[in-house]
Amino acid sequence: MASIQAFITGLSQYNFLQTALLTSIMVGVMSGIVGSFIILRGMSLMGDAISHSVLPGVALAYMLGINLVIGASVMGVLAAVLIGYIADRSALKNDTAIGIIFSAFFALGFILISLAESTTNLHHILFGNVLAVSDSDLKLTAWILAAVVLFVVLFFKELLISSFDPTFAQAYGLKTTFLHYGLMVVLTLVTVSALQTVGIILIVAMLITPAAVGFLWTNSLAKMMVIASSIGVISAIVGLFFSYTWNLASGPAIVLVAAVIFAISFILSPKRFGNRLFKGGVSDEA
Amino acid sequence: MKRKLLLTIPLLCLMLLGTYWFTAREATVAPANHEHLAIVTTNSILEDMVHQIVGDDAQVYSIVPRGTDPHEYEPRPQDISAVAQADLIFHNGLNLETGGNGWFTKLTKQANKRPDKEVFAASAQVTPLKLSGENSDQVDPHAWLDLQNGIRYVETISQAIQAADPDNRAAYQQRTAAYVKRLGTLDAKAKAKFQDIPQAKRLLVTSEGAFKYFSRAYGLKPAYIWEINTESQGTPEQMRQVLKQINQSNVSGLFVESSVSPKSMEKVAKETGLPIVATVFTDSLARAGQPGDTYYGMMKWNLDHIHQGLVQ
Amino acid sequence: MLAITNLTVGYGRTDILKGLSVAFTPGHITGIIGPNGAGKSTLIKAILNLIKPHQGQILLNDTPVKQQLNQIAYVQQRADLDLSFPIDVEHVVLTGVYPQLKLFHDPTPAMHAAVDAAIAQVGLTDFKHRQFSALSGGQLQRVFVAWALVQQAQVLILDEPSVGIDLASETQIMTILRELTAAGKTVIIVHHDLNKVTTYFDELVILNHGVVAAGPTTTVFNQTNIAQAFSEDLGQVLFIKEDQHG
Repeated sequence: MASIQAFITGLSQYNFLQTALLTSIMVGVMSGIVGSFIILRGMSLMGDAISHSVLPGVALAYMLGINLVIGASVMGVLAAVLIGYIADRSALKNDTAIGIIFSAFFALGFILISLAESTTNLHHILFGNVLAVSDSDLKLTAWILAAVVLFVVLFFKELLISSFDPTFAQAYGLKTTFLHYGLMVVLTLVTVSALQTVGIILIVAMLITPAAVGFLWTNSLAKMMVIASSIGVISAIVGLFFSYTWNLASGPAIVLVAAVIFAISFILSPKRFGNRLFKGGVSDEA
Repeated sequence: MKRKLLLTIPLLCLMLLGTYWFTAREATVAPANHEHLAIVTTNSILEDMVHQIVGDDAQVYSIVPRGTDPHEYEPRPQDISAVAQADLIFHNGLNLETGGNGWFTKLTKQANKRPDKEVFAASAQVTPLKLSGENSDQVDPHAWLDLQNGIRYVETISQAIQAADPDNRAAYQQRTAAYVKRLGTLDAKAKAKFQDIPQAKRLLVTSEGAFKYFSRAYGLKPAYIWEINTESQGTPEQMRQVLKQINQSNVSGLFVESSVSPKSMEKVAKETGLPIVATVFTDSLARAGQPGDTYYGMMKWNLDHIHQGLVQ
Repeated sequence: MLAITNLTVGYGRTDILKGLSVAFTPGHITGIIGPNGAGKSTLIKAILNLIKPHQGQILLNDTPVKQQLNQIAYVQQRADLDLSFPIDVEHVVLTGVYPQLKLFHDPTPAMHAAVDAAIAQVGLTDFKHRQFSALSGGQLQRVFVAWALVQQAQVLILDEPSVGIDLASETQIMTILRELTAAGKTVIIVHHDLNKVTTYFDELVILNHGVVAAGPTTTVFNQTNIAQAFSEDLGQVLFIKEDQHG
């Protein structure tokens, strides 16, 4: 097809397209990996919350000239801590705590951005523009990808058991709190990186949708992460193709491709109901 | 675990090295061998000026669509390709396209286009006016609303085009001269016409403070709700000061720009009992086929309607 | 021996158990019964160090249990598990060896062999690679017995294991548990109702915010104690009915 040819030609010609492709592939891989844990731990809403909560960190980073990663990470972890505190110390449920904290952080971020003397493009932060990724952004993304992969490889079994059976994990003495916050830090780093490709508002899509596809197709956590990363990468490439060919915003294009892949998986996958013999639960008459 | 790390760590190092290698290469500049000169402008006003100068002798692509604010803009794939392929790129300068942490600068840098080689500010020969108050270290970008400045824009653009395409120099010079003459005539006529507005009515009230150059050229005093589009728009403080200026004058009509939300000006109209007598053009031309779709047309529209609105 | 002395524990300001003392002896299957809210799960959580008691001591062979948590294998109620998690039978049982592994260490071949042996012992070798929610209740419970076996702990605590499982699985599990106690392990079962108490348990602890009775089932499981722990009616129904059936 002519447009595919044009895309490939564009890729060989334009540095901006090459950078965009590399960045979105890296983001696809790490969102798939981290996203798998996020959905298995029932933290999809938390993923959304952390991504919104980094906004004041981004604003402060621009205003005070501090490193973006540090600013965002501090805010992300702070939000996670506050959410945990509210949920633990009161009868309020987790999603209530999440809703309160992330909207407050987001609002604060919005005000800080408008106060920032340097005209920071809110639209850019909210929706990203992978076509505008600079060389330093790309390098940062590469480092974050390396950190995420290393973290997961080193702590795979700890992450697995604390996600699968947190009671057992705690009972045998695993430092589940450290692991949780470690995961929050990693999530925040991935968020900062994914900011560029899909922006704050759509990061949650890159975390959850490819992982959900992985969940529908396999019974192994490791394979789920591989599938999730692959879908993240495929969505990135195909999304970029559509963005380039039809002059669309790149971030949303990537997210929509991921959503379509999910829709197809949902219809075709045999594992929709989790392999249960009896839909209501696992029990037979004695 | 050792085995996993033995596999993972080298792969990660490879990935990192590959990334550093990629970013270190000289970016391949896209081959710019077209038969026609490829020109890119940031906004529609510059686009029209270029058209008037080049006719069919060159291709023009404009980045910010008509009706959109050129201050903060997210470049799309086509914009970036066009810039990569361009021989000449014109922007307004004077801080117009600097929003979003400098979207335009980032865009041209990404494509390896350099100032004064491929990238030119149309306002190079303009003496800028400064913003007021706290922002007095910044310049006001709206120079083109004074036709004399518009003429300077055209001359700057024409010089750059002629230097890049000497073969067609004669044609460019001819069209430029004719165009400049038209603009000059419009300017002189307007200056004459505006004499008949009573002094007490010479307050030009708009939402954004884009008419400083215009007002200086045509003998008016500018009043506005907010000074530049990136500031908060329509705060109580801003409303108070514009209402004060209106009360101290005898002005009979308000104006609102085609590219901003009319809500704040409508509030001013309600407070003062004065009508919004016309829409005016600032950052962008009208869509093709409508009045105000060329620079000449837009200035004529502004001049006619502002005169009419103030003199009544 | 798992010895609990003077345990006072609860949530927030309410104490569910006050000054409770009870011992679980190796070589016996001890059942814990009691009405809802009696403190059965609270007692288990205290043993596992999941909640801190206000008062009291829990010792395993004279050392605080806290320091030997890997000597206790706790099989949760099946209803509390995440059954849709992408993990198969083999890997579920494998997690049982995690307490023996340090950070950054993976299971050894010997551990993998132990996992295979445990899976064989519960008769689920053919199901090794099934996602574990594809199993029936009884099969699932057997998976967790295998999981408990690989932990090689001294104490096994099972929480309502016979809820909704088939007879064959039940029998198989009880056989394994008896083998374990014969080998000197301590087995504690929190039982959800009053059926088969005499069949399963040689020792019994009847709980209702405190120990109503503790000791050999034959001695302790009688109308008076049941009436005291649960209700008069239940006492009558259980024991008079049984008498009538001979």
